Amino acid sequence: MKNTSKLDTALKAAFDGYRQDWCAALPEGGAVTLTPTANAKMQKALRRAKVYYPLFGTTARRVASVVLALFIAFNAVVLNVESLLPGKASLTVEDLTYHRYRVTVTYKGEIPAYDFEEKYPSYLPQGYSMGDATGSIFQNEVGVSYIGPEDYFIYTQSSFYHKYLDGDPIEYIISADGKKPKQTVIDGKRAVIATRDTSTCLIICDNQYVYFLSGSGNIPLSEYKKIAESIS
Amino acid sequence: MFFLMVLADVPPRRRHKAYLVYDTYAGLVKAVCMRILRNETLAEEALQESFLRIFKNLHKISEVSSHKTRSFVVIISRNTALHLLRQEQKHHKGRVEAEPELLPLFDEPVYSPAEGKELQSVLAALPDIHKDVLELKIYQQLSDRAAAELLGISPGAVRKRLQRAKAAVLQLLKENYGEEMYEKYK
Repeated sequence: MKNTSKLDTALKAAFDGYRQDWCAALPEGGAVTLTPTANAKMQKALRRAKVYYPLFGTTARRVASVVLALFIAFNAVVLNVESLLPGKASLTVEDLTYHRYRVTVTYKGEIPAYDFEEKYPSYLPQGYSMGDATGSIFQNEVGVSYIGPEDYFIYTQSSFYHKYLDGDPIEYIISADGKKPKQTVIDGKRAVIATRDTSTCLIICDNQYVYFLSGSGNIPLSEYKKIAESIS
Repeated sequence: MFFLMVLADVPPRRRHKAYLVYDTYAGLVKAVCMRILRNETLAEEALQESFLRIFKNLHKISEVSSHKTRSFVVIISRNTALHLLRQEQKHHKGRVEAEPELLPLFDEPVYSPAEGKELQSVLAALPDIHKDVLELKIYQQLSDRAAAELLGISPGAVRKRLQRAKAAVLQLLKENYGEEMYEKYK
């Protein structure tokens, strides 16, 4: 602890009173007119005094900050750096024989208990309607087929908590004609997309559920993504 | 949105403390520098240097329009101007002259020897060299290093100066108010 003497304490109090009177006698401050060169230097000094100057003070630093942010986003989304992705659930893709892949969904740590809440996509491609959907809820799993004019797709929703209670791992075996399924992020959720000429398959997970979309290859991938984003 | 804000570089002129300090004290700093240097160009140079030193210590300023900040600003600008004056003299004459004869900034307030005002009277009677070090170290609570940077001396010299300033305070107390007062603060 700092040693403060009696004199120091008294001086501090005395200074307060002394400077108050002293400052009252000082000439008034206020604005000042400087020569253009001095003014430019002063403005530069003022800009440099800002707290964020070391980070964003110059155009080069601003550009560098934006590039760094884009680089981090690129790593998270495109290069799929594990630690930068959201959520506690993760997806792994394993290469099997005959152009098949196993997608395993795992949950890191202990899963907190929760009630199963049914979720359905609010967006459907043109020609599809909820009225034409057929499906079931069985042992805390939703499985629905959406029938369109020419094609169809299926949607399932599984719960980590209830699946793990049953002791089942959450796995999907998908066939992708040799094109390895791609890991990505959709609406802030981890996802795997597998495409082939005749069908498309999406596996998306958040911290509670795994959603599975699979259907005709005639439905564009962008439509599947819109369906996935609308699940609520 | 954040990046757009960053790229836009809208200077929040009234928001940042540095601008507030500059707007409040630029005139005062210029007046102090002019009083010492008596040259417009040199005074502007001293003003810039003073504010650079003040900005380095912005975190020490809690309230911009207070007498504490005002005296802090004056001490910094006076010492910066004096430093520049010595440099100029050295440059032009090849040697450092004796401490320049300075006009006081204003008439020092007069203190009656009322109780509790003894120390204030002593402070008023102290030379600036002692007053400055006491203010920076005891009143503004700066570290030796920070005070040394502002006064343009080494941290060791700050400690030495502080010791001498305290001795001078005690000596003045003894001379003006007797042995009792000296013993009270010794």
